[in-house]
Amino acid sequence: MDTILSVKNLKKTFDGITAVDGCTLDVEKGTITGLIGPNGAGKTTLFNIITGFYKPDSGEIVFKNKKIDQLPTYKITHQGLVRTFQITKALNRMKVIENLMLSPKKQTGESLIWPIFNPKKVGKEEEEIRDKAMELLEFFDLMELKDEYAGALSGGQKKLLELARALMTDPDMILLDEVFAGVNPTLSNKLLDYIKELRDDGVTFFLIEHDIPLVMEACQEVYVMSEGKVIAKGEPEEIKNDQKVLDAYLGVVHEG
Amino acid sequence: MAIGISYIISLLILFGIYAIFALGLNLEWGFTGILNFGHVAFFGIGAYSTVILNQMGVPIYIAIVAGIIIAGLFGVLVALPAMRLRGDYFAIVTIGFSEIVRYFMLNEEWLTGGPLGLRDFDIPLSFVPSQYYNIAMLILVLALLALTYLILKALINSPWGRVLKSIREDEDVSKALGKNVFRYKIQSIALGSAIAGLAGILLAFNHKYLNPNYYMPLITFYAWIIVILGGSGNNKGTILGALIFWTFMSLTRFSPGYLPISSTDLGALRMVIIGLLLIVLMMYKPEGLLGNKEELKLDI
Amino acid sequence: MIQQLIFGIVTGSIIALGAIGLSMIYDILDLVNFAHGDFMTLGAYLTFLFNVSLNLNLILAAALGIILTGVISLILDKIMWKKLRDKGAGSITLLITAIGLALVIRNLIVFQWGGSNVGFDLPLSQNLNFHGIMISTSGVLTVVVAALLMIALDLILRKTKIGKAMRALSDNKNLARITGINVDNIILWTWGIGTSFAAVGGVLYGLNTVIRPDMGWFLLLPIFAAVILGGIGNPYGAMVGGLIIGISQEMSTIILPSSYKIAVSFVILILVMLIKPEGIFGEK
Repeated sequence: MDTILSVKNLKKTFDGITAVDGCTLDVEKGTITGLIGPNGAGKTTLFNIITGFYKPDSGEIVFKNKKIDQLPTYKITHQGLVRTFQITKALNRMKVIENLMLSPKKQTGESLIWPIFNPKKVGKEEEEIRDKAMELLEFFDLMELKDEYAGALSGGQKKLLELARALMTDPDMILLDEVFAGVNPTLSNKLLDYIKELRDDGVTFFLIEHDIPLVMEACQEVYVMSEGKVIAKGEPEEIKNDQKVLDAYLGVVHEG
Repeated sequence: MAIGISYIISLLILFGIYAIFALGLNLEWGFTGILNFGHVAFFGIGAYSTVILNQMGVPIYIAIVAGIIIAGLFGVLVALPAMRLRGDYFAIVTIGFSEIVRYFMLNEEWLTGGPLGLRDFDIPLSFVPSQYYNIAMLILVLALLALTYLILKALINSPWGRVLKSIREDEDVSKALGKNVFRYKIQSIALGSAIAGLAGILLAFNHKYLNPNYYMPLITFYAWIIVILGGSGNNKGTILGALIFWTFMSLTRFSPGYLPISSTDLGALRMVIIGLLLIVLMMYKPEGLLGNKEELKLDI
Repeated sequence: MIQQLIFGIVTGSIIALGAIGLSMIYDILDLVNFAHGDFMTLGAYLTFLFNVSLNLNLILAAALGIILTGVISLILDKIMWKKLRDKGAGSITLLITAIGLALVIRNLIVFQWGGSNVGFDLPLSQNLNFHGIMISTSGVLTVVVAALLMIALDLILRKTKIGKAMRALSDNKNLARITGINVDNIILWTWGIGTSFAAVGGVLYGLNTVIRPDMGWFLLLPIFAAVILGGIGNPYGAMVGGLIIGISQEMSTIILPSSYKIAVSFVILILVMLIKPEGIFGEK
C-alpha cells in the first residue's frame, strides 16, 4: 500500500510546554486511520500543524510525496488535504448551500474581476458547483435544509455539513477532529457508513476519536499518542492488548 | 419654495455621497468583518489626491480615476502590516492612521494648503449653467451611487462575495477550505477604500473646496452609524440608513428659526441623539433597523 | 532638551492617569472604552461647574467633580454596561456602544457649556525658573498628584482585598470566577478607580492648559498608545507607557513641528502593535 501522509519527528513547543514531541507516523492511502490518546496528548495540535495552522519547530510533513510543512493552510487544502474542526464551525449567517458552494478550489468567480467582466463564465461555473453541492446534500440527506442558515442547524446536522463542505474541495484525504463527539448513536452510525462509503471511493481518512469501540470498528490502523509522542501503532486488536497503551490511555479511561 | 427645492437637492447630494462612503465601509465590516475605524482617511486621500493632481495639471477626469486608485492603494498600504492584528487593535491602528493623515493635511502646507485647505480646481460638469449645476451634481452623485451599488451587488452575490462572507463568519474555515484569507481581506479594504475615495472626491466637488476639518474621526463614525442603522451586511439597508441619517441631520439643522435654541446647541443635541441612537441600537437591536432577524444577530 | 523633558513628564503624568483606567477597564470588562477620554473632559467640566459657576474653592470643587464623575460611571454601568454584559454582548458591540456614549458625553458638555475654551478660577500660575528651565506651579502639582495617586493605586492593588482580587481577575478570569471572587463588585471598583483617575487627569489638564469639550478625545489616542505600550491590563505598564508617550511627544518638538506632537504617539502606537503587540512588559 502507498503512504499518503508521512509525519517525521515533528516538534512544537508553546511557551516552553512541548505539545508535540517528536511525533512520527504514516497514513496509508485509502484507509481509515485512527488517532487516539488521553486529553492533552497533542492530537489536535498535530492536526493543526499538519494543516498549516501552526508551523512546526522542527520535523517534516510529506503529503503525496510533497513537503507541506512550510505551506500556509490554504495551499495545503489545494494539495488535497482538508480538515474539519473539533468544535464544529458552521458559517452561521450563510445558507447551507452557500456553505457547500464556498469550498471548490480555483473558482473563476473568486477573483475581484471576473464576476463583473465575465459573469457568463462565472454563472456557468456556479451551476456546476451548485449541481455538485446538491449531489452531496442528497448523499447526506440534507436536501430540505439547503436554504436554511447554517446557524439554525442542529449539532449533528452541522457535523454532516462540515464533512460535506470538506468533500466539496475534492480532497484525497480528510482529517476529522472528533467528528462523532456529541452526535446521537443513530446519526453516528450513519456518519460512519458515509465515511466507509467514501473510503471505498478512494478518500483517505485520519481521525481523532475518543469513542474507542467506534475507532475499533472503523479503523484499519490506529495510532496512540501520549505526551506529544506516538507510543503505539497497529491494528485495533493489537492496540487493545498493548500494555503501554493500557497504561497511558485505557487505564485513564477505566478510572474515569 | 425655490429655496426649499435647492435645499432638498443639496440634502440629497450629501445623502448620495455618504451612502457611497458607507457602502465602502459595509463591504469591509458588513461583509468581511474588518473593523476599520479609519475609513475617513481614504475619503480624504481620494479627495486631496484628485485635487492636487488636477492643480498640477492633470485633466480632472483622469485625476478622479487616479484619486480613487490612490485611495485604494493606501488601503492596501495600511492593511498589509495591520491585517494580522486582532480586531480591536486593527480598529485603534486605523483610527490612528486617519488622524496621522489629518495632521499631515494640516501641516504640510506646500502640498495640502494646510488649515486653509485647497480651492481653485476643475470641477466636472462645469459646462452646466450654474443655475442647474446642483441638479446635474445630484444626478451625477445618484448615478455613481447606483453604479457602486450594482457593482457591489454583483460582487457580493459572486463566489468572491461568498469568500468574504465566510471570512466574516470564521476565517479559520475559509483557510481550511483553501481560501487565501489575507488576500481577500486586502482586496476588501482596497475596494472599500477606493469607494470611500470616490465619495470624498464628490464631496470636494460639492463644496468646491477642501479642508482638513472635513476629515475628523467623527466622519468615520457617521459611516458606522449609517451601516449599523441599516443592518450590517445589507447594502440596501446602508442606503436607507444614509437617507435616514441625512434627513435627521438636516431637519435638525433647518429648524433654528422654529426652535428657541442656538445652532451650536442644536448641533450638540443632534450628536447627543445620534450617540443615544447608537447605544440603543447596540443594546436592543444590534442587527439594525433593516437587519435580517433570520440571518441571526451579528454575533459580535 | 531638559525643558522638553519636563513638559514631557507633565504631559506623561496626565496621559498615565487616563491610561490606568482605560487599561484596567479594557482588561477586566473586555471593553475598549472609546468614551474614556470624555470622562476626563467630564471631570474637568464638573470641577469647572463647582469652581466657577458655584464659586467653590478649586480643591473642593475638584474633589466633588472627580467623585461625581466616578459615580456617573457607576450609574452607567448599572443602566447600560451590565445589561449588555448580561446579554453576552461581544467586544465589538461594547466598543460601538462606547463610541455612542462618547458622542453623548462630549455633546452634552457642548450643549451645557458651549464649544469654546473655559478655565478654572485660579491665580495666575507662577512659573518657577531654575537656571533658565521653566516649570509652572501647575506642572509641579500635576506630577506630584499623579505620583501620589499611583503610589496609592499600588498600595490598593497589593495590600487590599479588592486590589488583590482585581489582579487575580486580570491574571486569570476563569480561575478568579471559580474561586468565588465577586466579579460584579470588582467591576464597580474598576469603573470607580478608572474613571476617577481619568477625571483627575482631566482636571490637571485643565489646570495646565484650558478646558475644551474635545480635549478628552484628543487625549484618548495617546492614552491608547500608552495602554498598548504598557500591556493591556497592566496598570504599572500604563503608568510607564504614559510617561514614555508624553516624553516622546514633547521631545519630538525638537525635530518636528509641534503640531505633529499627537501624530508621534500614533506612530509609536502603530509600531508597538506591529512589533510587540503584547506591550513592552508583556510576555507572549
